[in-house]
Amino acid sequence: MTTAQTVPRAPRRRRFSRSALRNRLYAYALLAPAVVVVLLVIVYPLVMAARLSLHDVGIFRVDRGLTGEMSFDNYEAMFRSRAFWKSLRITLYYVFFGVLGSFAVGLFTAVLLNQPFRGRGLARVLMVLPWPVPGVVAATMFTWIFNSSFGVLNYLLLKSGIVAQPVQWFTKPVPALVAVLVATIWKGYPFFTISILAGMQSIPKELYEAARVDGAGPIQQFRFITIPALRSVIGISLVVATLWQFRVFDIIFVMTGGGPTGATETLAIQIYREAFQYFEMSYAAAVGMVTLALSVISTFFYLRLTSRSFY
Amino acid sequence: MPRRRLATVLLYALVIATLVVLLFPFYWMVVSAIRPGNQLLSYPPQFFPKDVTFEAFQAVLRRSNIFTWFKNSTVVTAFTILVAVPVSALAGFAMSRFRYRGVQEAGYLLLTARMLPASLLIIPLYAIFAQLGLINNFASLVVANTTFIVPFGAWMLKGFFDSIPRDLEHAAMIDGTTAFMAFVRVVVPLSLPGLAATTIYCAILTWGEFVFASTLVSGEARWTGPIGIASFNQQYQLQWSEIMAASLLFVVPVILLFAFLERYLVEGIAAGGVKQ
Repeated sequence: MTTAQTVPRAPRRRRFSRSALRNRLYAYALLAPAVVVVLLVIVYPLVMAARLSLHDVGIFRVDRGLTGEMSFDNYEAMFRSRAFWKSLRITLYYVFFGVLGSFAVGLFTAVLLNQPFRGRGLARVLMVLPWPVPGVVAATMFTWIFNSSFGVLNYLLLKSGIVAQPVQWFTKPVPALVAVLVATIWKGYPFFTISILAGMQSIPKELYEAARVDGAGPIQQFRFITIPALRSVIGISLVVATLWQFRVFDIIFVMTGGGPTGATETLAIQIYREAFQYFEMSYAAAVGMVTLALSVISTFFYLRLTSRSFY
Repeated sequence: MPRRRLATVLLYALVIATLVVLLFPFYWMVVSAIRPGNQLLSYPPQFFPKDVTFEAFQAVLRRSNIFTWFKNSTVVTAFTILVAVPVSALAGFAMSRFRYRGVQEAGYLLLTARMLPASLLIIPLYAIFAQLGLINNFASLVVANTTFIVPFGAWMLKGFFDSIPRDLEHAAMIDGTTAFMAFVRVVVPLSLPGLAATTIYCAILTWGEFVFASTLVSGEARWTGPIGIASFNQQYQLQWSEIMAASLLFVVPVILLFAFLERYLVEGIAAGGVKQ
């Protein structure tokens, strides 16, 4: 990072000089559009959602405002609802296995791409090609691959003798979750590939040479040089991927709509359904606030684990 | 050295096998789109199509409003780029050059804001846009998309601006240019790769955006591509070859954009630790 304009400490007068003031205003003016848009479209709605969750409103309208007494009724109803606890459990499975799977595939592909070979540039582009694919397209691709009657996956599974009967992917709870997870991991792993590969390429080559001289084999080098050097990269990637995974909406919504019987209804899907299908907007806001709290908690959890500041 | 040659062969085999597995969904989409519809339901499935036909593409173009959806997606994406990239550039430049109180805090505010779940924010946002009369108006989509792109765009461009020496601007300012014109005339031309990367990122994200597009606009004439494609399951009695054909048409532009400009984008993704 280049050092930018550091305000000198000694001459206090400078604070009042006109050019310093002008510079400061200039900096704020440059930032203003971004900050205003984030305050209006993210922070203000967030505050509104928090207030909404403390009221009892079916269809929220700004002009009617939020009147009446505030209460925790929505939260009480939520903690009593079996659908909420089920959704929470499914979300935790979905986030845990989704992040784990993406990380595993991402690490594996990054290690492959870190080897020197001809055509590595092309392989790198191809390896991360799912990254730009819209979630909806990934969902239609995998819905077809997982199709119970004519899908190619069931054919391969039957042919290789792994299953005796065609798997009913979208009518049974666990298979439906697996199908959704496969699509999510496929869309999610390139992010890990890209960041881990970048991390690996910034490790000084001399470290490996020194280790070789000391008689360390490839596995020891990986264990004692690569992994420790990648600690912070992996930590930050896990945080970002986890936060993404909590937000995933389109893949699940298009593949299963949350079904069968709520088996893939993560909290993100439940918020949407409560708000826009059952028109229980204040209840949905309460579920949303809990989701937010969960993402914050898991962020801190990872940060403690990797013990490095996020920013 | 035969042992080394063996290692090379193994490495290539591993790379190719991995690519075959990971890229198979793309292959299967293409193969399913160019086969006669009735053959898709044959058993066993054909891995290498014998008869190639484009009837699925013709059917999709004829029977659905796919042109309208793609046009809508293009309009929303173009306007989002037009707003989001300059706003990101200004903020990124401020974060790169100034250390006043509030500048860093604003940077962190942006970064944190990006992490919030859209499905929560969409509830109050829907009410706000309804109050402003902007439901069913692409302006609401442009504003919502811009907000979720600016935080990353600003941090990504900050990195690019950091690598441009300040002396260049100072030289221009000594010649009598204002600070802002020095930024426009000197810094912007030197950061074209960064601006290109931000633009692609913005295009890819907006092109595939689903949550805002499915709530803030309604009515088929206003659907964007993702909403149209998602609707195939319910709305039309379409065949799988046609769904795959539509998906393929929709994904090709972003794949091409990404493949050709991957180099620039990858630096930003890795540096910003950012994900869709």
